[in-house]
Amino acid sequence: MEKYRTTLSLLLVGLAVAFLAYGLLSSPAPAASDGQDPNDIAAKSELWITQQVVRGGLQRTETGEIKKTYEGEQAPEACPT
Amino acid sequence: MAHMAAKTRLAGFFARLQPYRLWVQTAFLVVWLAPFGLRYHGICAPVFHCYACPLATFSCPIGVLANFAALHMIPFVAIGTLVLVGALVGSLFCGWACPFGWLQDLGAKVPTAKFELPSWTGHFRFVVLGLAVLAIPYFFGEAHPLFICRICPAGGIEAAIPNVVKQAWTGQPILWPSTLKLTIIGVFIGAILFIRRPWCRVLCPLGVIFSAFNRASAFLLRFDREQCTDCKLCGKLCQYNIEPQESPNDLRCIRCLECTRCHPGVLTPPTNLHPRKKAPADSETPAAEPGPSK
Repeated sequence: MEKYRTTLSLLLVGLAVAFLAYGLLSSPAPAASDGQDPNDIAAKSELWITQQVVRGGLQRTETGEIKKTYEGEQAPEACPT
Repeated sequence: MAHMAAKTRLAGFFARLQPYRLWVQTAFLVVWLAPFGLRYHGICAPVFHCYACPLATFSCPIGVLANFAALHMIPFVAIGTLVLVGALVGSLFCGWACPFGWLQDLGAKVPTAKFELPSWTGHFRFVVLGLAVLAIPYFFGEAHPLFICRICPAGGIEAAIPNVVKQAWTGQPILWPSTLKLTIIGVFIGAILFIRRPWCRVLCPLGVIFSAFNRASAFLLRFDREQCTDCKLCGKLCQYNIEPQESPNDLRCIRCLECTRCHPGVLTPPTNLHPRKKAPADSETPAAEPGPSK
């Protein structure tokens, strides 16, 4: 039982490291604001997207696109709740 | 031999720290609520809190999971953080570092009659995780009234109230929280006075994620049947209606480690790296292993 548990712990730690590495190293999705040329849109990192969603800075449109909810550099200050 | 010494050191460390758990939780506030304006909202902290709080250093993993579900994306970093913390220490952060748990522990200090909850209410945590954090955001987006952030009491207490105070202080027009939010705040404050950690035990979606790792985490609670005098003291020390001698790594456990104050050596917090001492085959009992949750 102890050996099984140790193996499981190590497997979970390995899985977590794999998730972290993939999330930090990959660029999961483009994000565009209205009027932006989709070709100019650089793929953004997950950390950037996380920072945006906690400010309510990203939304999914009805067509399935992910768009910024604001223009320029200044993110909305309002709480997304 | 070295492993046994390390095990004793770890158990001794937590035994010495145990009386000061509330102070440890208080000290962790400096990490989660940076007074110096440090903002790393791209990174999740492994505790339940609201990133809309004016002082929040990190983002809330539950808020990130829900918002990513609304965007139909997978938050690999947030999931990796949760799995890593869960695999290493299980729900230890719930008992020792979570600011929302700390708030509820403070509420429990108020000398009022305390009511117990039936153990089945803990299953609501799975419902909150499945519906309000994952399914509703995924299918209906973040505008749905049951989106977790819209009904979260942490958002009300840590963000809405401070923001109202800030608006009043600076002379800005006050944006009052919705009636639903105000009701949730009121019910929550009332509940923490009469029930120990009501949010953690009944509704916390983060707690249910971490406690699911309790039986597989490297840090664990080990029950030694040989040392046990069957006095049931550990069960009396547990404030969450768990019987540690039956289920030391229970799904409902927040790992406050109060039960380790039982007779020395009966319940110890070692890790997987500290192997159980060899005992005669007939003295090893099934109860020494993690049992089923109730």
